[in-house]
Amino acid sequence: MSTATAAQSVVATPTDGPVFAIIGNPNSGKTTLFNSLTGLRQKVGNYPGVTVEKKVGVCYSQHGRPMKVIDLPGAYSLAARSPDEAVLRDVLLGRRTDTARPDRVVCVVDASNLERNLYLVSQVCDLGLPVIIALNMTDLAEEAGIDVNAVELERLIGVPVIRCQASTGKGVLALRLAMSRSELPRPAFEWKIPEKIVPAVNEVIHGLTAREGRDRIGAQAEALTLLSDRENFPLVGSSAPSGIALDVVNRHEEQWRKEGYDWRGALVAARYEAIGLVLERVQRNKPRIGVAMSDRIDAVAVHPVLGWFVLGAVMTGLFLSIFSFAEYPMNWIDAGVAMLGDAVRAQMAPGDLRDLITDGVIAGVGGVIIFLPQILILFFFIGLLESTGYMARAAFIMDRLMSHVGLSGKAFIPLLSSYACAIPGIMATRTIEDRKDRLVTILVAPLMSCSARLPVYILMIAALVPGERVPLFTKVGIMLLMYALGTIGAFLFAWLFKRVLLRGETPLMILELPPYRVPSLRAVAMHMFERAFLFLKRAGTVILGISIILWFLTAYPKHENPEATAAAQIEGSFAGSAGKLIEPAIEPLGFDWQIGIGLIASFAAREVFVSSMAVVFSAGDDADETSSTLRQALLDAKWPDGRQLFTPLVCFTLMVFYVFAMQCISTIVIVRRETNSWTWPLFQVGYMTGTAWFASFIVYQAGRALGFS
Amino acid sequence: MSDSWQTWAALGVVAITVIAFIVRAVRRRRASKSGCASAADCGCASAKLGNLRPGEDHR
Repeated sequence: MSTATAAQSVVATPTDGPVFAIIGNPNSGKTTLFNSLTGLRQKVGNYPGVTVEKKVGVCYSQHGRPMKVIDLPGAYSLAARSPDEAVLRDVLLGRRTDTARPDRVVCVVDASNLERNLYLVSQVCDLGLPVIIALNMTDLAEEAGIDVNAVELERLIGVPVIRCQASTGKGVLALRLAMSRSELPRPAFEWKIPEKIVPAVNEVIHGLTAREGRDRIGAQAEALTLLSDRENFPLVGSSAPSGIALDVVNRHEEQWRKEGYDWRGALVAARYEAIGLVLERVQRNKPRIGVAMSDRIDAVAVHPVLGWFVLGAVMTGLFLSIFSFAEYPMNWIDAGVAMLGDAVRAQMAPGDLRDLITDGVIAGVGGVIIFLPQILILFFFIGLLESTGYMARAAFIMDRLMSHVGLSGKAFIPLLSSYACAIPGIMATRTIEDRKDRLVTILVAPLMSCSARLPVYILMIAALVPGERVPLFTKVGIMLLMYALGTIGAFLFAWLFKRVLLRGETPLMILELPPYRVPSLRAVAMHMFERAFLFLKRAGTVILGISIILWFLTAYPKHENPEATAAAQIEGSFAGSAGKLIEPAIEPLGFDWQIGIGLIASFAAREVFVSSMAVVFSAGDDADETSSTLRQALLDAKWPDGRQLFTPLVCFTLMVFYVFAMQCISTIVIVRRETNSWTWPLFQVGYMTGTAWFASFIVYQAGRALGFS
Repeated sequence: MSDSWQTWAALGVVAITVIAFIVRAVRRRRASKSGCASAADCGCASAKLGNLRPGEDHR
């Protein structure tokens, strides 16, 4: 057997400051550590695979020198099976054309799961790059009765080992000091390459050093990565592996295949054998008494029957909080918006500019920012569930259901993210290896009720069940129904697509259930305020712009009769004409041309429906009156024959329409980018809008047949 | 008189808004062609951080 080891030497700091790559297994605390080091704000979750994007930040050495830090996707090994794992492999091997190879690597290692984490470390050591091991989650390891001797580990692997707890910031200073060292040793980790594989590795080394001028360590790393990679997962933007190396590897693999030799298994076994020897020296397991707290909670949380009750209770709690805690702040914002409108009316003479400010800007933007408290509560809960580790349990429970419809369990995380916004959800599908599974997930992800639908649902529920006497649970029940409808719709379409359009076997999912943790309130609060900022930014830019344009479209062309009522003015306006144009198509759903204006405008973004209703109906107010609330304006709206427009049935139908309709330009653009084709986003718009129409038609017509108004 | 200047001012605001939307669309298209993950208005926290395609560094 030959020995794979990087030559023990030291590497000096590059003159223009070192570039560090932070790598590690999924859920090892990599992203949290990256946040601690760089101060960059980003989403921090504790279910596996949350990091798909590349994140770059700068931290400063003890002497104040900048050090660039790249947060790479989490992976269990360099043998890539998905795009994000391929990104890690290609950046570390210097194959990316857009990202320079890092100078140094910080390997984040979960101390409570050392054996599995050291596998990736061993592969990184083969690359010959200077490595620092951040021994993270030492507190959890201690709780689990695992004692890790960091000094011995440092001696055996030959690289600095820093004990830290990324969640509390403990040890981060020591890590920063280690990163500041001007010279770092190359790793000295040794493992024996199986004898049968040695000739192939040597042949690649000889070819690459002699014909391409590569160094020996890099050539060996290339050979071992190619031999471990099952499919040599290709990635856009990466240069292909060396042709010389590929030829040699393919030739040997062909021969081994004929002989029935499992060379990949042999490589894995050889590494684990070496890791086992290290573990014998550095890890001591204390005897454990009883069942760990996480296991006790999981006995209920992931139970085949009780687990569903827990999930239902969590979701009910979330919506109860949204309705009950948000009421007062919503009323304050509502009153503030109304006061502002009245103040402008009192100060300015009647005219177009005053109307633009009151009916366009204040009504439009105010109609959306009123939902800020709900958004804050929603993201507080989502952050809390991620931070405690419950999200991975929810994924586990849902996997049983998802496998029945042919979806990969890995699709759960993208689908779950889509409850917040379909865009990060669609981006997160990059963790799904199978192309067809990924496409199916992308196609159904926008059916999950995103936070932009929340304002529409809440407004419609307010109009649907007016009055203070309506029990809170009725509102929560309707909200849960809408979320359930979107989820069931997503599963049904996934099932259909997997059987008709994109046939394939249901893949198995291996999901790591992290131990339950006390949530980091700082991270949750950061996540919540970041989302609040984005929501307000959106209200102050896109929604403000659309409200201004919508006001123009409702105010022009001017009615021939200057004394015409506001309602007659809107009816004859550009927006009114557009609404009337689609009225024949939406009348069977119980919607009139005024709702039609909202449907057209909200193709830009769903929450624009609320602001457009505010613009359309506030313009209908008598200019001398104080502005009424949007809910009251909707309740007062009538058909020409005097019938109420927003009846409970129409409100319910409208909610059903929004559950299924694909009304988000940003999502369409992202789907185009992720699928590299216009076919799929157009298909998605078609099937979702068609479903929205048919589902609304059935609900409205069936409701009428049953005697509902 | 008041009505007249208010009309022109309101139309001016509308025109500026339309121009701003056009500029934004052009910039997003350019960014998209360079491979940047510029879904800055999607409400997605991670989108602004870029990805691993050319022109990715948004900081």
